[in-house]
Amino acid sequence: MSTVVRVVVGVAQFLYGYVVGDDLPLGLGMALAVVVTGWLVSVGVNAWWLVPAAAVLLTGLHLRSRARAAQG
Amino acid sequence: MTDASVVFVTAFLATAVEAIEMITIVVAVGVTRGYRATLVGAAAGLVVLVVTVAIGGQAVAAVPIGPLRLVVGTLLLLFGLQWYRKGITRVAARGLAGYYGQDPPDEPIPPGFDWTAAFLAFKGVSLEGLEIAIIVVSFGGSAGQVGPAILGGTAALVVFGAIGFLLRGPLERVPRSFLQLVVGTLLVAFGTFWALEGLGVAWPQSDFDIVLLAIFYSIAAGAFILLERRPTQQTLEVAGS
Repeated sequence: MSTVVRVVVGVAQFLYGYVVGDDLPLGLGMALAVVVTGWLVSVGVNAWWLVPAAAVLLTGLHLRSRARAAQG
Repeated sequence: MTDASVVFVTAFLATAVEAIEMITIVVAVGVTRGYRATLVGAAAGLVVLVVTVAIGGQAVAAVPIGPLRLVVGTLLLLFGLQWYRKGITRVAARGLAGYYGQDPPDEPIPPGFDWTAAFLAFKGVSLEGLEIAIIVVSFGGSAGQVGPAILGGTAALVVFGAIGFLLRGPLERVPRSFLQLVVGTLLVAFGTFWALEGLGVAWPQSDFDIVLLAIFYSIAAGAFILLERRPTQQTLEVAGS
């Protein structure tokens, strides 16, 4: 593997770990919440509440699935 | 032309709001991840800012802050959520007392240079710094007093930077897991605010909504910690009976 490819892969892995981390569904869910908020704003709805609500909801789901996995 | 002292005070106060946000991020990241990489990232952010202002001059006021806030805010939101949920899990598992200095990092800080800390500090400084530059340049330029406006902005950075430095000692004695939760909460609050402002959302209480978001996420974290602790306590009671 060339040095350039290694650097590109390393940067991509860093960015993925930095942005998404260990929970892809949560990252995708938050990205979706931001996109939907943008759409709502574009149609005249001041949806400031959507992303905070999504953040708490998705965090709760993450914690619950993690607890269930730990219980076996 | 507006009086120079009025321009100075106004630029100082306007900059103070952004400077507090900038220094809160730098101190929080520094305490959590170590100051070496954090200060390098902050310094890099300042250098980028100075170069941007030097090259752009008056044009800095025309930088599209909306897309910038959307991108940076979304990144902070996603990254902050990782620390937020890890902080919840760890505080729920171990509580707040009895592990000063014994708390192993669940996200090990790599040997050598900590790019995560540097990147976080860089983003905080460059984004808030750009907002300060826009305030100072646009306000000073419109008042015909760019010099006093720059002095006012610089004074605010020095004053609040010194306050942040003085707070460093007490912050370092706070348990790391708890601090990770606090920093995660702050990053999620700032990230939410910036990302949505970048989308054009009108916050009902303007900048004060950052505080309200932090309170909202803190309350949610407290509720999650209580829920997380319940099964652990039940297990302990069963084991002890």
